[in-house]
This record gives sequence, structure tokens and C-alpha cells, in this order.
Amino acid sequence: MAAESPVVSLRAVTKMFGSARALDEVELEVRRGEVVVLLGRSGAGKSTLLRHVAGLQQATSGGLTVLGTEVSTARERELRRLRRRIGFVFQGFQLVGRLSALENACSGALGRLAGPRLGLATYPRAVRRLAAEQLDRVGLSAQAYQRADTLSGGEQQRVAIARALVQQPQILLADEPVAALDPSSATTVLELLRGIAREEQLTVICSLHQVAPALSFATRVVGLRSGRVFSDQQVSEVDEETLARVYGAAE
Amino acid sequence: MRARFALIALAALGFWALADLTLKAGPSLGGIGQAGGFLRRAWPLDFPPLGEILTQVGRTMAVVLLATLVSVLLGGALAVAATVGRRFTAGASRVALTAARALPDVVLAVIFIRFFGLGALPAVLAMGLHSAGMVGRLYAAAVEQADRGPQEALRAVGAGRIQTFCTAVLPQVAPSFLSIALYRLDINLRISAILGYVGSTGIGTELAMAFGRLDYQRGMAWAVVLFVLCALTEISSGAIRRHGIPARLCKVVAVGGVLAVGWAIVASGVLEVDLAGNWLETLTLFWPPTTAGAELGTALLTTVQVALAATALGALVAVPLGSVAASNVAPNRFVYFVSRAVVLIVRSIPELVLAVLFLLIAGPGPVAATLALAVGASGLLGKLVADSTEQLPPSPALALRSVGASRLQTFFGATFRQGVPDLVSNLLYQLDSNLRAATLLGIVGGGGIGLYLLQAMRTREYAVVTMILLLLFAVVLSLELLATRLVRRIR
Repeated sequence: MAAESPVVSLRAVTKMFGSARALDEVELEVRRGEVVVLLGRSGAGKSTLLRHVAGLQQATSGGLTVLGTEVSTARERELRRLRRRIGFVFQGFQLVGRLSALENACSGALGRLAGPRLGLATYPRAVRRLAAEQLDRVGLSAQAYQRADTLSGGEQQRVAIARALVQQPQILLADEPVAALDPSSATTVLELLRGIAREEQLTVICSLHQVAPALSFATRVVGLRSGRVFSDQQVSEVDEETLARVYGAAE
Repeated sequence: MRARFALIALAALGFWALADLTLKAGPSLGGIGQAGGFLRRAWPLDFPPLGEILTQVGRTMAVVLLATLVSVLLGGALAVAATVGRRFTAGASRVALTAARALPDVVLAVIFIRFFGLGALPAVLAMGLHSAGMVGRLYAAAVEQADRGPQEALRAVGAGRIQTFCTAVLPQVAPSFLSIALYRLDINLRISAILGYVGSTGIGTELAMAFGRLDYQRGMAWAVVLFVLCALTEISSGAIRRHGIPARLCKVVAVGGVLAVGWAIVASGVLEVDLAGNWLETLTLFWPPTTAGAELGTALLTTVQVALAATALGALVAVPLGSVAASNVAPNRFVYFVSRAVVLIVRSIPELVLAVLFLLIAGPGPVAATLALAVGASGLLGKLVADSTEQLPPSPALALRSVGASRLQTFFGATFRQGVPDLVSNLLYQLDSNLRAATLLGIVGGGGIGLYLLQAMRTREYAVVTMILLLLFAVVLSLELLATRLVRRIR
């Protein structure tokens, strides 16, 4: 069987913010079905890397191919088409607080719908059904008609996951999805993400900054340090020493 | 330091204008005796039959509602284009918003009357176009302040600009959009009364006609009706702005709103348009602009002086009044509530009613207009001063209190000093609004450029109207540019 081409491939990607080097010649290939956890201290470049993969930020130099699209040269139309196939779960949930959980979930379908939507009733019936199913899957069918800003943090993050699932994505990106949650909600959300990744054979790239959940969640762990890939190991080979150095004091 | 300099310069300009205006008015100033005579002639008030009052109130509110609707639709569209659009669209929309703000509504009304005939439509279009500028600018600010998180999330979903706006921004800003529209409705109600003088419909027209035939009893009765209407509108719109609309009433309110617009279209009579003659021919009447020998420059200076003097006089009252109406300065609850109440009541008296009172007491001319605007300014400025004083960080005042400074020492040593930049920007806002109002009051009899506008309209010298439009546009625009620069510098 010929090796499948990678779903995500970064070639010497560098991102400058002014004179600060947020990503420094990052090389990374992710294959279909892999669950990659990015580890690193804050400021190591995890969020920036994820945003580049989602086409939300453009690299200063280097090449980036995602699902066959060359991101660095793509036009806005192509980028939109690409983003449609990539789910993104944010640290701060980023829901529309005044809309219901269900309508927030429905908004995941906007990328494949033409024209603006004003109100739940303006979404096609099929989208509403899909959104209700995904809310059920994350265990929130009872709260479907509640305003998003009345939900707890853990519930809001599950709505955000439902929104990403309504996209029916091929890749799921998650930027510190549990950093703003209490430990028990964090466990629920991570278990949910792991279950979904397995059932849907999704490719997942998720940044975390705790080691223990990362090891139970990932198939592969990538350590970032000062914008560089510092370590890259299958979860079975991960050793404590390397991880300690990912978080260790500057050399 | 810069702020203090700006404050001194504004004060100096204001009192120079005041001195110049009173000097020119000379001894012809009416005085108390005339005021007594006027009150005798206006008493007892002669109210028209209830049916007549309700008809005129309905007409007035219909015009105001439609004008505000026009401003919300037009201003809203421009605001969306200015915030969501790409670079060129956004820039062009911002220019259009600034230009609309600088368009003098009353001059627009005069122009539209020539095209559509007397009635509601010119007033609706004039107020709508002018207020679209303000509404649009506030809407754009609300959009810019909206939480960016959901917008980024929808961009990540692959949604387009318009889709993102409708789903992620509109729900967030809907309450402030509503509140801005209601705020503008209050202002438009006051302006519509004055537009009655140039031939719109409603209470303003009735008032103008009554005073025109020297029927002070009926005229003052209409003024009272207008005051009550303004106060009621302000109280109810204020209540909605503070508490919002309960979710379970949203549908009722939406249906009610649509019905109200339908009613307003019929009741205001905007559809009774008298398309007078050939439009192309009419257009040539307005061009090229000319002064036709009138001393428009002097008149414009008078209007600017009225605005300056009224702002300075108003500030004399508003700064102490507004300061004690701030909860962090007021010595006790009683003073706080009384001064807040005074500010509220003064603010809800329409400029037209004040102008009519002062014109009758002090005789026609810029002095009466100055006094009327000064009273109005002390109300609005008082509220602005009180609100911005309450927003000041408390630590410097606390520090002075802790070293044993008295209340008064604390106020002058910390609170007032901190508030100077806010005061300057509030004064500039007031000056801007007084400049527009001074033009309007000229029509009622307050002198200045408004008087020439009325004359030009009566003598059908439309080329002069164009000239006045251009002059006012230039003055308002330069004041706005100056104010924006100044406010940015002193911050």
C-alpha cells in the first residue's frame, strides 16, 4: 500500500510578529487519523501554529499544505473553502452569547450555506436536525434552547464542539480547549474529544499544556519551544526527560 | 496641560462672543417688564380640542418615526459597509457618514420642499439624511466594540463577511442599535417641531401659525403639548434603553413596530407628494450658488457666536450642577437626587419651547437664541459632566482624602483636574450641537444665518439656499475635524 500523502504539512514555516519570531522554521507532517497533541509553555507558538493550519493567519515565509490546498498562495475564496473542512475549538469558546445553543451549533453550517442567516428558523431543516443531533452527542439536548451565555464553561465548550461537528470537518483543531475549565469539566471535554476523534476517524491537532491528559489523549506528542519543534514522538515512545525539557528552563 | 489650554481658549471665545452679541443688541433688550406683559397675554392657555391635539401629536410622531427609520436603514447600511467592507468600500462609507452629519437638516428641508411641496416628506427626508450620519457613526462604533471571538470562530467555520456579521455581530449589537435609534428619535422629535416653521406638518406648524397671528394663548398651549410629548417620549425611550425589551415581548414589539411604520406612512401623509413641475428646471434654480448681496458672512458669524456664547453660558451652570450630580462628588444623597432631577427636567424641555419663551421675553434676535440654547446646554452638558465624572478613577481623590484634604480641596485638587479632558470633549460636542441648533433657531426668530435661510425661501432665491448649505456644511465639517483632532491630542 502506497503511503498516503500527509493531511497537513508545514515546510520551514516562519511567522514574525514585528521582530519577534513566533514560529521558527517549523517542519511538521500530520497523517490522516493521527491525534497530535502540541505541548509547550505559553508563548511557545502552539496557538500561532494552529491558526496557520486553519488559514486564519498567513506565514511570513515557508510552505503550508492543508488537505491538498497550498495555504500560503491561496486566495480568500479557496481559504474559505478550506476552513469549511476544518473544525476549530477555541480556548475561550467564542460562542455568540445572545443566541441559543442550537443556533450556535447551526452556525457551523454557514460555510456551506449561501447567504446570511437571521434566526434559527432561517437555517434549513436538515441543518437544524444535524445540529440537534450533535448537541445530543455532546450531552446538551436539554439545553438546546438556552442562551449560550447562560451555560457553564464546560457546557459552552461542548456547544463549541457541536458547532465544529456540524461543519462535518476532516480535521479538528483545538487550541487549549480545556485551559479555561475546572478539572472535572476539563476531563469531560477531553474524553468527548477523544471519543469523537475515534468514531469519526478525524485527524486532530490539539494544543494542551498539561502532560497527563495529553498522554492519555494523543497518538503523537509534539513539543514546541520558542517557536521551534523541540521534540516529536509517538505516544508509546514519550519519555519524561524529553517532556521535562519541553517545559524546562531556557538553555 | 493641552487640555487646560483648550478649555481656557474655549471660555475666552465664548465670552468674547457673548460680549459682542449683547453689545450689538444694545439697550433694545426687553427685560422683566416685557416678560410680565407676555405672561399676561399668554394666560390663560387656550388648548385646542382633544381630537385636534391627538391628530397633531399623531402626525408629529409619524414624521419622527419615519425619519428615524430612514436614518436607521441608511445609517445602518453605511455602518455595516464601513466596518465589514473591504478597504475602499469602508473608506467611502466613512466619508459619507461624516458628510451626512455635516448636512444641515433645515436647509435640506427647504430644498426638499421645493421638490416635493409642503408636507411630511421633505421633513422625513431631511431629518433622515442628516441623522443617518450620527446613527451610522454610533452603529459603527458599536460594531467595532463587539466581541471579536465569535467573529473569528465563524471565519474559521468558513463563513463569509456578511454571514459572519449577521450571525456573530448583529445579535451582540442589537440592544445598542435599538437604544441608539431611540436616542435619535428623541432628538428628531425636537427638530421636527422646529421644521414646522419651514412648512412641515404637526405641532411645530400649529405653534408657528398661532404665534404668527399673535395668538399667544394658543401658541403657548401648543408649546406645553410639545413639552409633555417630548418628556413622555424621553421617559419611555429611556426606560426601554435601560431595561431592554423582555424576550417574551420581542415578537409583540416586532409586530407592533411594523404596524406602527405602516400607520406612520398613512398618518404622516408622506405619500401626498406634490411633484411640483420639472425637476431639471428646479435643479437649475439652485445653481450657481450666490449670496445675492446678502451679508451671509456676518450672519454666519452671528450664528457661530450664538453657539459659542450659549456653550460658555451653559457650561457656567452645567459644570457645578453636573459635578454635584455625580455620585462620587455629591456631598449627600439629597443633593445628588435634586441635581439629577434638575438636569433631567431641563434636558427634556425642547429647544423650540425655550426659544419661543426667550424670543417673547427678550425680543427677537441672537440674544434670545443664546439664552434659549444656554438653558438647553446646561441640561445636556450637566448630564454629560455628571456621567463622565462618575467614570473617573477614584484613586487620586482617595489619596487626597487620606492626607486630610476637605471635600472641596479634593474636588479641585483631584476630581476636577482629572475631568478636564472629558470636559473639553463634552464642550466640543455641545458646541457642535449648539451650532446646528443656532441655525434652526434663526428660523424661529433668533437671527443669524437661519434668518437669511427663511428669507431666501420666502423670496424663492434658491441659489442663496445652496450658498447657505455650502457655508454651513463647511463650518460644521471644519468644527468636526478640529474637534476630532483636539480630542485625540488632549487624551
